[in-house]
Amino acid sequence: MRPNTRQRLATILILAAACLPACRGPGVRDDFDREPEDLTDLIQRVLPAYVFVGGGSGAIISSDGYVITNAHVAGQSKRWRLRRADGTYHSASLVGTSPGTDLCLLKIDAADGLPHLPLGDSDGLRIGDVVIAIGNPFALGNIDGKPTVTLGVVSALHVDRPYAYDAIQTDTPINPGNSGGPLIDTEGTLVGVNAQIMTRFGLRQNTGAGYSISSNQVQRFLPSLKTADGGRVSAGRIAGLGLSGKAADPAVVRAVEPGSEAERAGIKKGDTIFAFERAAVDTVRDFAGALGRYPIGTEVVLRVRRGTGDKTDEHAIRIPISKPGRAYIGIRFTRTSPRSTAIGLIDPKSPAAKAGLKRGDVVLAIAGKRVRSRALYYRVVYSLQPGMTVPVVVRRGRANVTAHLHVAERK
Amino acid sequence: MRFVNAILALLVLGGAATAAEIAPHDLPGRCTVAITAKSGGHPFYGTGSIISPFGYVLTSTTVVPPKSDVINVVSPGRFQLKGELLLADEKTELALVRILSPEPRTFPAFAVRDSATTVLGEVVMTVSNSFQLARSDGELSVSVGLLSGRYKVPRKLARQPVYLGEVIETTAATNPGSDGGPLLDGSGQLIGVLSLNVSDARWLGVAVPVEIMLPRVRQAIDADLAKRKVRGRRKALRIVRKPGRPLYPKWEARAARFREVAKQVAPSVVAIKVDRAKDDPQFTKRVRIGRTGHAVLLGELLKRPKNATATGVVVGPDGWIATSYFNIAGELRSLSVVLADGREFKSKLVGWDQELDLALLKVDAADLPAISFEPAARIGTYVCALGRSPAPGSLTLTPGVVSAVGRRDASLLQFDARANVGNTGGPLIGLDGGCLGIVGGVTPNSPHGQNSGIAFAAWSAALPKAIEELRKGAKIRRRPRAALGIVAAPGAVDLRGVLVARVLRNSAAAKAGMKRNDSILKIDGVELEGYAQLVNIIREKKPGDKIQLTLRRRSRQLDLEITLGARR
Repeated sequence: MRPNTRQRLATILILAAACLPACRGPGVRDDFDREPEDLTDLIQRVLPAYVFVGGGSGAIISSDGYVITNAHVAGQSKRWRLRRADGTYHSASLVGTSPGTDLCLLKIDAADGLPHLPLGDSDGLRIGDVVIAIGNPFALGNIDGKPTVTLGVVSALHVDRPYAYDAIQTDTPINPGNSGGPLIDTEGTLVGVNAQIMTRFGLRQNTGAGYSISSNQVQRFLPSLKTADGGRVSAGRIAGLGLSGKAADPAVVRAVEPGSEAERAGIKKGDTIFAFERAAVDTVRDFAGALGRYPIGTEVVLRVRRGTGDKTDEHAIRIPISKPGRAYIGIRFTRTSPRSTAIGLIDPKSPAAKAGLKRGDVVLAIAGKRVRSRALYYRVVYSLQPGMTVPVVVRRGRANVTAHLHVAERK
Repeated sequence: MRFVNAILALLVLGGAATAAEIAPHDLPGRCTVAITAKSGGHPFYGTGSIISPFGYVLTSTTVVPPKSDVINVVSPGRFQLKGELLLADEKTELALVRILSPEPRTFPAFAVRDSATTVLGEVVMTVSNSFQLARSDGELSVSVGLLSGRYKVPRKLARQPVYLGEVIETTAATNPGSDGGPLLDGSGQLIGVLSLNVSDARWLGVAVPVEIMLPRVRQAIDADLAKRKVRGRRKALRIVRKPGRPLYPKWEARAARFREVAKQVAPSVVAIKVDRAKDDPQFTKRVRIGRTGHAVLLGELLKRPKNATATGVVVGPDGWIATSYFNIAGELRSLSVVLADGREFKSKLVGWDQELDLALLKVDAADLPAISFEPAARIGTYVCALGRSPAPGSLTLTPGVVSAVGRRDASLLQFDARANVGNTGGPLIGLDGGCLGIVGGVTPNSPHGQNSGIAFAAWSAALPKAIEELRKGAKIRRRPRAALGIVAAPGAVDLRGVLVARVLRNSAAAKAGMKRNDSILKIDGVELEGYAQLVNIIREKKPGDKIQLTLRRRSRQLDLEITLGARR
């Protein structure tokens, strides 16, 4: 396949991590095919737990009325009216939303004894397992109130993508309107929350590659969502830990900020992180993907390798996930020409000054990304984390100069 | 791709496992590789299959074109190595690559099955680097489907040189980047190499049968091993003639029943040759699609070929053939029906119903095997759509489940089998051989294209009566639909009624002075429970009808009389 621009765009958006032997389900099992002969009874059993949420979908996950859906379906409004397949309406409130990981929890008012889908163990899935999606594709059910049931198999597991971490890839037909709806295994438990699809020809319709946020990801975020009181929940970072290099490089610690959580926990410069809780980490990209799996406030165990040659030993480090800090570079662009990325002012104790940037330098690229405008520059800086070391390319006179900049935290 | 120097830099793991040590269901993933190549400065990507423990990879020339200078072979999570092109033939899309491993290693490899031994309705699977996902998230994509057809693809729809000739079609997912990858049988044996080409009527993934490539592949591998003085040439390829132990026994059992049913119903499934002078104007209008908003002909969007073989089904033994109205819409020059036994008849269009998307033809033949209707359908019931393939008219079988029962005024069944021009008009069959519906429901307003896994059939519960009408020559046009002209925010209100998210320009609602954020409380004095109810009430009306709405705007209530417009 020769890539064209559109396909290129489709793949650029994907910034994700490889997953790993450590988190793949148990290896060999004898029951290769756990699918029942007839699905109709199973579907009748699970349908009452499905709800229409606006133009999308959701699933009741507890008898007292918690409803799981996507943040892109229900995160925008505090109050919702949900409709079940039998035409019953329920009023619900937003309990918590996590836009970065595309999960959203609603609670049906004064509910008791509702039909619900138990959350299954998505780590027990295997590639090839049959899964069923219930949803409202193309808002077909907005007219006659009937949800749509589709069937497919698990295509890949433990996929980390922007807004869908620890996702299940499936060839089940899911389309716009399936968002937030349940992906169910053949035992009738919820194993995923349908979230994204790959598209072709600029058409917003299924191609046989869709993503569902796994139930274990939901389980990890559920406690935080339940206590969010209508607010936001986010995945975080490990404070004071600086990894650098390309996405495909091994996850080697380049810097540990003095006095930070990372230092207190005992991470040392030069450590190679090879596991993040149950996920194996081969690359920086794997590490970034694993970060998307834990909300701020949880504690995780990192496994690092330390030393060289024969003297390598392994350490398990327990460390909390904390709030992402805002990156601080310390430059202001020139006022004389409002569009250029020429530096007008440098804060003398800032990372920019320490890296040797000078007034009059024109910023061409930062962290490997070309910045042709100020907007692009700010977008890149916004995505940086304190503690990272990133290359900055500037034009100084006629020469291009590369400086290595240690990103600080904006106080 | 040009900007990717960093395809997953995965560590080369020492000591490859041999095929015997790998669990059967892991084998397909282990033997499949993601490939990137550069040829003439252009980047290419796709998938390949390891077919020999010596590291020979079978792929397509659309992935590794002739004269490729850089070839990367990646087994996600296992190795990333360079490759060398041994053989490339653009006519059959055959490309054979040898993996260059710095140290000697044994690769897990697919057994190759002579695809002449495959049958329609067999369980097949694809493993692929679709959308180059193996690069971004390190996972290959697995999809399971059936072998849904074998036919000739006479025309090339890809921009690159592709194979023309007999192909194996599959309902398993194939996408850009799947090309070159394996089409496997239910036991994980290689039967075809996925191609970029498609049939313009079917628009499903197809594979080049592997036996077309085998002689040259064997020769090339032998020559290469001889040149490199490698021993054990007999072990280089494993060729088998029958399926092995199934990976998904229940799929196999169900597929066997589908095959049985297909065999039983096939005599009733006919091909209809449509010679059209001019297409129906509703399919020749331009529509804007996708985020890019570029305009295409609607017919093109629905993959509607100009003159094509469509599918029909025998509904009366004395020559009555039903099909979808979609198939015969437009100004026709002639219609002829090719029966399952090969006899061809001129045929007459007797009646049609645009609402049901149904048409009835008559041929002068007697004692035809008519289908039997089965109106009982439950959500999740296994079904298959049967069709006739474009050129030779061989049977196609596309499986799925019933997705919803009784859509659009209880006249349609919804199912998730891949519906396309090639099976529209054909029967939707349950596992007991009864006809649940006639595939159709294609409207110019379909928000979905085809192959999205959202498909419709005129439901058997409504069919006998409708066919009776058509026999009498009924020609039923689509009822003009009334339109209010608002976009509602369904669900986003915590009260009874419908919140207006947007009022369309020049619509009935706009002319009557409706505004964004109005809440519709009552329609014709009836209190509104929700959006669905509003839609259903308006669906019952005709353009020009008057309705009384009670609205709440901020804290005031107001009444409006609105003359409904027509839906385009």
